[in-house]
Amino acid sequence: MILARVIGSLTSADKDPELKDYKLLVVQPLGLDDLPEGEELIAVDRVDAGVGEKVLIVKEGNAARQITGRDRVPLQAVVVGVVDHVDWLSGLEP
Amino acid sequence: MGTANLRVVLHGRARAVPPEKLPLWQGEARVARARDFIDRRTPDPYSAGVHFARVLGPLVATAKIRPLEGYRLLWIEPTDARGRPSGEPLVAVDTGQYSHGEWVYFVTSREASLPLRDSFCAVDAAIVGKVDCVDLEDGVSTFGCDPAPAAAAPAAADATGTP
Repeated sequence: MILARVIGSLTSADKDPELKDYKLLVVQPLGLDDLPEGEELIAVDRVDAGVGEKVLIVKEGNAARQITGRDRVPLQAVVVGVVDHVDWLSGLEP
Repeated sequence: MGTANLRVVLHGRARAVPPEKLPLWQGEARVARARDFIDRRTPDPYSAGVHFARVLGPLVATAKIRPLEGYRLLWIEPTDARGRPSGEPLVAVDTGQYSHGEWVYFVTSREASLPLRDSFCAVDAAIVGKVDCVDLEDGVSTFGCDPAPAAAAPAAADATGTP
């Protein structure tokens, strides 16, 4: 699982039938220092995350199928939690 | 035996030994070979996740494996959330009816074969939807990727033709 920030939402009418009725978010993976790291992703929202929030993302297809309960959903990233705060071991704070 | 080998490494003479001849436990060579192995095993720069892409055009292949029959193949160029190109073009299966210049999103790896009839079909990337609009937090809404040359020409004609 990775930390990411929700940077936007995606409107798409024409999509795979298995993806119907899911809210799609554009998320930016974050490094330890909260700075953007890597490519933006499209993820399905399961926790009603808002734009600007820091979230937890599971980036694995089988997990996505289990969470959505659909066997053939072509998905690889699901927002599974909203991060309140991250505790750091003292001395390791970024 | 162990100490003798260690001394060779400490004196730097191990550099002359080709890495494949070194015992596995010898740190640096092991890490280098592992990294080399990983690099060769993952030529695909796209990590798991659904990504944006722009459709560049169709690819025609008449002889295909049976599960792919009836599906179109498209050249796509990955973009970021603002429609700027962000990677090397690749070929993806078209599961809807997407066409040249459209802004779409695609999945890679195992999930790419799920929208197809045969969910174990040997494909590596599949387009799963068309992007209508992306609303970003800085207030920017994008309704399409960078216009393709073919799409830009009619727009210019309209602008001049309107009184």
